[in-house]
Amino acid sequence: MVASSTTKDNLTLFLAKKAITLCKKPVITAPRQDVLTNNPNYQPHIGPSSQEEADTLIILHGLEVVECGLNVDFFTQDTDWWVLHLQCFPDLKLLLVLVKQGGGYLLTSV
Amino acid sequence: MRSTTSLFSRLTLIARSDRTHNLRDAISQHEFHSVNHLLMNPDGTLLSCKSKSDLVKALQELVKIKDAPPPSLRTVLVIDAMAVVQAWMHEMSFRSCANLGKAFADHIDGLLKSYEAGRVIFDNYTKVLPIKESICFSGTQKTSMEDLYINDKTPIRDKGRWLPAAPQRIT
Repeated sequence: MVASSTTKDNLTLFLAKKAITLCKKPVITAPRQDVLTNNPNYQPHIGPSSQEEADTLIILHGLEVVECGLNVDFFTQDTDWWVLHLQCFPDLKLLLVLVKQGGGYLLTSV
Repeated sequence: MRSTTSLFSRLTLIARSDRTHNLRDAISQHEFHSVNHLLMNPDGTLLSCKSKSDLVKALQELVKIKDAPPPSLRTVLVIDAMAVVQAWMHEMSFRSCANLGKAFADHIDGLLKSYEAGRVIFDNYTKVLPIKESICFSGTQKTSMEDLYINDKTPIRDKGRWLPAAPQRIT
């Protein structure tokens, strides 16, 4: 049995708004095609995106972080997209470091 | 037979010809030669992996998993939100969406503890025919349950109705 797309869409929007309202750290969330932030000093430059998969959207966000002069780490449960986006690693200043942490994998810049 | 046709054709060619052929060029470069014999059964067929989970476990034991190095200053953590929620929610239970939302925010804050900021990225489920569903799920699995409107008071009775279920590839 699979949750409907509408249910999953409602869930992502709900969780994104919860992260915006309850997180103490500056956070940007990207539900649907929107970009939200909880800190006026932490504004994203990336606009609304029609990307369907977070796998590809997180790369766009990572590249924007690097363009702003910051380092970027990634936290995910999946490992497949690391292979898909190996070509972006030099631009992201990433080396492939598999660190298991908190039920997921951390891909860190070193 | 098909897999060894090339090798046997070379052997036949050598057997019927004189000894001027360079055996190294004729045989030793054959791809059969490059396969480690430890990967083969006594009859020459390749060993197949019958248990992927056992293979993954064996490979993981070869890798030294380290603690995460402390992030440097001015580092942003980008989080694949639904992948994290999927694994995380299967392990935990919530009675209502209010509990779920609070726990999710706390979880994100925990991940961002040593970071300057974070970006929480979600899959986009607004597409009429999402690519993921069209390639991952069979027709029978597509018959999804009724849509749920989610707010703080929405009770959680069956987690299967909430989660983007783990993809089950069509075989």
